[in-house]
Amino acid sequence: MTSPPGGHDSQKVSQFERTWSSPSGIAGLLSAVNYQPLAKRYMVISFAFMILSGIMALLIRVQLAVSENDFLGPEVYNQLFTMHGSVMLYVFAVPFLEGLSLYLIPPMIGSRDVAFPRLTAFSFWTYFFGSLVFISSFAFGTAPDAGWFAYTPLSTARYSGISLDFWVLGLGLIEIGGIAAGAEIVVTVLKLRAPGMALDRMPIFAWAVLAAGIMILFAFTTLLTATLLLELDRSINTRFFDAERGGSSLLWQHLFWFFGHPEVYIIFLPAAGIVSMVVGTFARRIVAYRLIVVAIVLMAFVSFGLWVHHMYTTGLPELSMYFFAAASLMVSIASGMQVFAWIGSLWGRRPQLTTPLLYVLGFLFIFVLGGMTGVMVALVPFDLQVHDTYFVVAHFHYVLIGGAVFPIMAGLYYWMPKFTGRMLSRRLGTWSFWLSFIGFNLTFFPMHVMGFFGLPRRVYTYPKELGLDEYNLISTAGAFILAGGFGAFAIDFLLSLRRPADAPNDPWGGDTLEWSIGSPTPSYTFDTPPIVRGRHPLWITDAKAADGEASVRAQAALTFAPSNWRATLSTDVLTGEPQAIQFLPGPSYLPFIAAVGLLVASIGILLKAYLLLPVGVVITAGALLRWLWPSEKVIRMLRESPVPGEAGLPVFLTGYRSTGWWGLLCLITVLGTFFAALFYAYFYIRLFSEQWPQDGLPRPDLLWPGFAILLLIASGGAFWASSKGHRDAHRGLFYGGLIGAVLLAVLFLGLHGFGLTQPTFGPQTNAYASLYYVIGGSLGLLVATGLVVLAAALVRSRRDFEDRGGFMTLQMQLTSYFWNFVVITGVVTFAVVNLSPYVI
Amino acid sequence: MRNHEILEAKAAGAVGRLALGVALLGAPLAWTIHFLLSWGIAEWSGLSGTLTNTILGVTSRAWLLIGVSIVAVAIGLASTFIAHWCVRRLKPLEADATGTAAWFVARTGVVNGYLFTFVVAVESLPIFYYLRDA
Amino acid sequence: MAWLSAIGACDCVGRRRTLVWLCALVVSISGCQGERIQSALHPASPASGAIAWLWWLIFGVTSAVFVFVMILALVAMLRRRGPDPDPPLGGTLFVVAGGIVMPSIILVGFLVASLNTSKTLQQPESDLTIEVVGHQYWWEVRYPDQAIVTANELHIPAGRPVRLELRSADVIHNFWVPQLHGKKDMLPERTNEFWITADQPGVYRGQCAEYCGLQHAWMAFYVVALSPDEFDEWVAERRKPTAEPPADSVLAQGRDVFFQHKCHTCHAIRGTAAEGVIGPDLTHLGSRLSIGAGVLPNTPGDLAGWIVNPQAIKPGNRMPRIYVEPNDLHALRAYLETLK
Repeated sequence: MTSPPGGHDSQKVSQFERTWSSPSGIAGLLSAVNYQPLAKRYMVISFAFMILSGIMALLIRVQLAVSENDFLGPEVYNQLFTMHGSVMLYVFAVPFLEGLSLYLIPPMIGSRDVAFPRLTAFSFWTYFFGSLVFISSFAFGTAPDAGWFAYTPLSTARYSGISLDFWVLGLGLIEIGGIAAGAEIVVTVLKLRAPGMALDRMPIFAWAVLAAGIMILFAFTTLLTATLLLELDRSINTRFFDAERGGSSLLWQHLFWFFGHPEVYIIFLPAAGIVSMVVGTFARRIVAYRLIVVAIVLMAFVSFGLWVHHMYTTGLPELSMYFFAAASLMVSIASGMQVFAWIGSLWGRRPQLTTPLLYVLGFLFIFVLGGMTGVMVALVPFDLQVHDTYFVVAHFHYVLIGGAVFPIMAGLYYWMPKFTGRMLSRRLGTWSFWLSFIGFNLTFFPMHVMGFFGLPRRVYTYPKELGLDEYNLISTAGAFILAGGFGAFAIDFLLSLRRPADAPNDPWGGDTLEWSIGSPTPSYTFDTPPIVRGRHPLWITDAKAADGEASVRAQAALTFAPSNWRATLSTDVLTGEPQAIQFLPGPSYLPFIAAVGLLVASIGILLKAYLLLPVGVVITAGALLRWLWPSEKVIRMLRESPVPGEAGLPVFLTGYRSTGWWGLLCLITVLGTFFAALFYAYFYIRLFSEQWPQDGLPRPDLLWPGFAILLLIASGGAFWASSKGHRDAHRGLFYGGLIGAVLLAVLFLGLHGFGLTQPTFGPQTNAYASLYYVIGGSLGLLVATGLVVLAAALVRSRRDFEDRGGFMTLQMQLTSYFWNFVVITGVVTFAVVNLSPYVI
Repeated sequence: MRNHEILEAKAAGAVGRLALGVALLGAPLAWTIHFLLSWGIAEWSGLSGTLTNTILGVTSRAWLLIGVSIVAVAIGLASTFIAHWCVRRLKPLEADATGTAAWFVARTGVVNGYLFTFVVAVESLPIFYYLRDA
Repeated sequence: MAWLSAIGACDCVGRRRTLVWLCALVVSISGCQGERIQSALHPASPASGAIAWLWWLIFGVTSAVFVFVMILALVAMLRRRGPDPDPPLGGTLFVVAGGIVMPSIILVGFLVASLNTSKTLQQPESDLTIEVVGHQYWWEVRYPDQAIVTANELHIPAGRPVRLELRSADVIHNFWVPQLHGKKDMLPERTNEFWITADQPGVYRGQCAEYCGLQHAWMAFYVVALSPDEFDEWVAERRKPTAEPPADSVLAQGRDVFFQHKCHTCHAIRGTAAEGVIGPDLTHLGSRLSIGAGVLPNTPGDLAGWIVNPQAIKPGNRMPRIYVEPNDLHALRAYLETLK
């Protein structure tokens, strides 16, 4: 597929290649939007952080090797265990898997790039800046020391210094990058699959990252909300987590673990997807495909019902804890199904024992053992003993290293030819595996026993009288052997880079599309869009006739084409029928600039130089506006291009067929989750308060806010009329409705803002007051954002009112969905903030 | 094997996307509703000490939770039934159509339906240990 | 063939190591009774006993499942019959049986076992209440009905359930004496109810189990279970009016040193003007088992060392370093030792 077939002149081919290449030098560094360089940077940087964090772990193990050791001292130790956990979970695991997914998904599903290339770049830069903020705390000598979970009140300003601001702000940026990448992966898997790749033909890895991507939208947003509340408590003295002023330290735990437990599955699902791919290739089959998909769905849902099993000792009602215990037990059925599917697939297939498969077998041993202890800690009474002891440390290292790092190593050995064009050494790979496997078990198995014998987590030392010196010494020795395993991999990797990039396209005989293209993958990924004829596209050798006419025509039209703009095929979510030619933007500095704006704002908060905050917001908002504003030139170019005509497919889609619709759905999910988390905080604090509003504060007004909310609803109606005006080509109705909607919304905003200046209390008065202002302020910001969206439609319409088949129609649809969301959020907010104090 | 696009079009004619969506995700949504309501009721009434009056020796909290569970199981079974219905609608199409995405989703919906309904049922079990206290 | 021997080797090593570990685990857990001062598997109370029983049950079942799954994986890799062999029952049914039916039965069983255990851990009736307040990094212990205040030690009557009221004065701490019960958080926003019982008289070590800051590692305490008579005696002893004027001049000097160095701003000694509440109550310091919440044994030398430089021994605790003349130090130490 790499050599141009006859009939394609070399000039067109080279123009096609040029169109897809990134600029070189600094320009390419900052403006590239292709998935390959960005995903590679994601992987390289996050892996480097893993090594750094691994070194911290070694220091931790040295400190703990013998009792009452003074190698590190409490201050450094607490910083190291905090940063070890934080870096592994926030800066390594999820970003690495997102990078891996971004790199593998386009070639695996037969697309030339991801759905929103500039969003990939934005995601990478925010992640990169966030990780810099995070790690720079070491350089300033104030590394965070409140644990990766940052429980309040230990993490509030009263008990922690600026180190926690590094933690919160770095994490905030990383989460934004993570959410962006999650949305990217979801829309790409749903919309950009090759023709013929119906839902039942999707590689299991794609199912897994699709589920993980959706989970990220909910889980990361909740954490982002929690960290926002924490930073408000820290910087402007709101009272969300301040027990003395009506706040609740448990609120943090609920919000944190609502993120924290799904997080484990967000890491595990893609890792299990890797295992399925490796097993599938080497066993040359995967049994019970449907059941694996069901297991993924089960995990994606039920993992959101486990979070309280981190809180069994906090004194919640026992019955309420048992719902979480039952869910925690049930979710292991999903693991069981996948384990048996892998064993069943391997059954009697006599696979070649390659390094990836070795790592998968090691994974099976470790993960199943970790799963067993996972079932144990789900049981309420048993957990009362082992909670926050080394038993739990052992358990989650078994599931995270066994369940994620071993599959990642398998994936690296498996897909390395696609990343670098080079195979890794089998000999060093075997060394790497055995060192890791033996070292891992030596390190972590004794920890189960240490937990039973009374060693709590997060202690910088322990008394000799606990009798744990031998266990700890074995564990420390094991840690160095484990590090040797990673060292062997690092040497293997570096040595491979010195060899020429001569890996074959398909060294393992794989079944999925990424093995049909060059190693490493070319910048355009596919010169000819593939057509998929079954679940294992590369193992199907016959049945050309089974290809649909539309697919064949689109394939022909897109071979080395279009040559002057980037495009891939967009297909139906369910059936994989080709629906459109998807335009993909080329290099741009805007994502980088938008991320820089966020960095500036974060630094402003960090240094308490609050003037930088608006500067950063303006930079980001400006870049985003410029980014989202459709380019006249591009639209004209797309309209004039002959390729859509040849392919028999449109370039503009509307409604749920378009990628924009799915992108907006992701955005609304994120915003909805944000408000849901705020409302949850409201009712949670309400539940613990004897008096509501607290401290005898007056109940909020009904009259004026009620009137304001009616204006907002009217604005929703006006926009509905405007949409109808656009559909019916009725200019009067369109402009009347749109201008009416804008004016009503402005009026609402004015009243709402005025209302927030009225109370006699401030946001620092107590937790109720903090909630009142933060929820009200969030609604104000949301409506203001909605106003910008409405105004954009108004401005656009002056040029494109007549465009009814494509871009303008899509803009009106998306504006309508967004504005409806704003209105509904406004009504719910009114019900929560203004009505509920009168009702309950 | 017939042209894939024609088969998919036939399958799409037999069952709508809404039915398929319900078949696939109805039971998971039933689980979600059950979980959130059960937890909310148990946590709120347990901490605030409400809903403790007993009817037939069982607290109204427990009655309420049992009611929520019954409704959730019913929703789960209903969506399983819809999944079965989709499978039946697709079966009479010529043999190849069983290879379509719609067929896959409907069959997956059946497994999902039973599994999630089972999970809901198991998660209701603790209620019977806490009929009188929290 | 190479792969076969590799797998064989892998299997032997893997299986043997597992066996060794399992043996080591069982032996070490059940073997050295008496040496384990903070072990969840050496229960000394009905609650810990019930939890340990649950552990041995689930440990047995999960071990069997683990071994079964590993054998299946091994057979899957080694089996070489037929060109295209399916797993037993065929692919789908194999997964249904092993991945859905088997875990469902076991997990529902575990849930029931767990619920039954929880029922036995219900808070029992009790006629003795102790309030425990967590501080960074020590334990304030109050007997409201007996008007006793002490620190870092709970004295309880053996064989009687004791009701605990747990809360925190600052960040979240966690009360854990593994041999007597599981854990319970101590929160700043509300009081958590908990209970312990000791079957036999003895000393049981406990430790803070929720990360609470710099010296989380050295926030330990002891539960001293006494026979009922001894406990009544202990209570009576503690309720006697204390702090009679020191009998000799060295002790009097020690008491003066105590006030000269402003120790009373943080510490209380009942019967004197010292009523500080920032640090532990010292009324019965002389009879305590440890200094600094478990960081040192309560010996004269260690006490002197602690007074001179607590920050060297437990960096980050709230007690400042104070310069005391050697002569004064001797007197102060002697005075504090008499507080029993």
